[in-house]
Amino acid sequence: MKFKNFLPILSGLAIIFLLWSCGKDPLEPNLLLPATVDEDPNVPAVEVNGTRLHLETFGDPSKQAIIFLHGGPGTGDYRAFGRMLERYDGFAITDSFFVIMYDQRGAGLSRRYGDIRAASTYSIKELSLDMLLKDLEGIVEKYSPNQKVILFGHSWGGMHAIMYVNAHPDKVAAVVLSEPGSFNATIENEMALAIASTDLFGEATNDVYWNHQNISPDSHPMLDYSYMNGFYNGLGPDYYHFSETDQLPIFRFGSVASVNDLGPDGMKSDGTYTFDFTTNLDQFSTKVLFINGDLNEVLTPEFQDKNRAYLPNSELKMIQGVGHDLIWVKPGEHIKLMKTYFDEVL
Amino acid sequence: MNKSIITTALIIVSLQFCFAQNKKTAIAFDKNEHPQRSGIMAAGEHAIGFSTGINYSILPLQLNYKRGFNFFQGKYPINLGIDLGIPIFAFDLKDSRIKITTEALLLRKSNFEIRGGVDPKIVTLNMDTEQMLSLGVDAHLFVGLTSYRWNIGAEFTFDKIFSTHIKHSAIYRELVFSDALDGWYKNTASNIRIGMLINRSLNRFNVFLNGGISKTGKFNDYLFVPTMYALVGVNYRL
Repeated sequence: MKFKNFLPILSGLAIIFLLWSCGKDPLEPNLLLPATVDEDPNVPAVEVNGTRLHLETFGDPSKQAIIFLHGGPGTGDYRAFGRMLERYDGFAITDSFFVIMYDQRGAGLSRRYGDIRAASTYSIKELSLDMLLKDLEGIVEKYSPNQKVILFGHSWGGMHAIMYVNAHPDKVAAVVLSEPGSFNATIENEMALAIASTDLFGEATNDVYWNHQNISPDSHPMLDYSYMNGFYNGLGPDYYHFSETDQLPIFRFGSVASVNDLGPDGMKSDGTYTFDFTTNLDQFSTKVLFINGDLNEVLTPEFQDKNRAYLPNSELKMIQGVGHDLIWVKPGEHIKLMKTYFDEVL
Repeated sequence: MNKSIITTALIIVSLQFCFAQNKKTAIAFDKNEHPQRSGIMAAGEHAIGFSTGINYSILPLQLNYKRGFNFFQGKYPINLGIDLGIPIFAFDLKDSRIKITTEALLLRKSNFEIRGGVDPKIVTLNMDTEQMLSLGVDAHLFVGLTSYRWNIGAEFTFDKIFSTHIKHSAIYRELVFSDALDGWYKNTASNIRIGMLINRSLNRFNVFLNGGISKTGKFNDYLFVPTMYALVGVNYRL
């Protein structure tokens, strides 16, 4: 057999070697995605409950603390609250309060946990509701040890806030909920059935599918990158009516936290929800402010009435012309409603 | 110089070697003995084909051309060709896959047959957040039974992307990461496929159906989309 017969094979091997040895490592932080708190010591962070969370504070620490809880789990982070720190009609939230914003574990730039296989059965213990609650307890203890705290929660963050209120009704001074999700499994299971849908023939689905040839979602960075690809290319339901001209930004998706959803103490491995944040809510008598956009087809005023049944002392205020990204698209209207509410209850 | 141009040039040069050698050494591979046999084609035969189904897209359009060659004094009949794949929905030529297809008969004992190949490929994708161009290969193996009319067996594919060029859009920089670095990234993807292939020859037509599971290289499920592949197609021998 002549040497030249092997030339095609050798050429092919040379090409493979060339390609294999070239290029940057996609897993290296700050190339495709921003680094997490574990990857870059310069990312502002705090240690609580044995984890490391991306956290920033704004304003005077001697003032009453207000903690912002973002949506998700995993699909949101506190970058979404950025505009709520601005001044509207002469008032900024930091004029009256010490603001604490953080990314929940597994989300944003906070520490990552688990893998996608465990997440698909909702079994990652480090991402359980209990752990999320303990993180918030640690933050309250650190930043407001001697004074009741104010909670602001958006979407899942509203559920998170209510989980804390249910556990510590005596430690909360006021609660603002912007389009919160369900307070218990009964409400959530009904909603989950109503919103299940996937457009298999849509451009977003096919782009995401095609992308599996380019990027394999096998690690936290690649999972977060792929999830981001899907979200910002239109994957997902449109009944939340996110703005297409003023899109909600994010530090970084937490894909595993998102797939893990409410975790082992919030749902069964078949996806049925089991959580209940209402068992002790009758101990909280302070008025609660609900804020809703009028475009959301799922988290409607009628849906919120189911939640508000557990908080008889509550008020629902509507913001017109906005969907589930109301915290980003209409931050000024939030601040105005919140100022009026705080003037009343604090 | 652009890396994709160099790579494409190297692939073309490699193929030129193949064709040049084939002219010198080709021995007619039982074309007359086994006309239009199912499975690998004899030297000199040509075929064009079409397929669709679920293959990293729902109902993609896939077109292919292949030709039979002999190498190493006719011991190893090989089919070489080209395969073009494009998602049909929201048709965009910036989403495409071009493969140089190869398939060699590695073993034949009576009707038992093992075939395999390594297909260099270029995959492009245009999204709102970034554009990608990936260079890699599909390594595939078929183990099964082949008669003159039927071809059935198991197929295994491992595909590997060696290098991907990523260019982020202004949307990505505004909404996610302003400092994202454009350029070439290595080893961005791999996928494993295990499935079945059934092929039926009808005169000059070959109708085939294949499908199975499709997972990432670490055997994880895909995000949001079916972890499977399934194709139906037809080839016509010219």
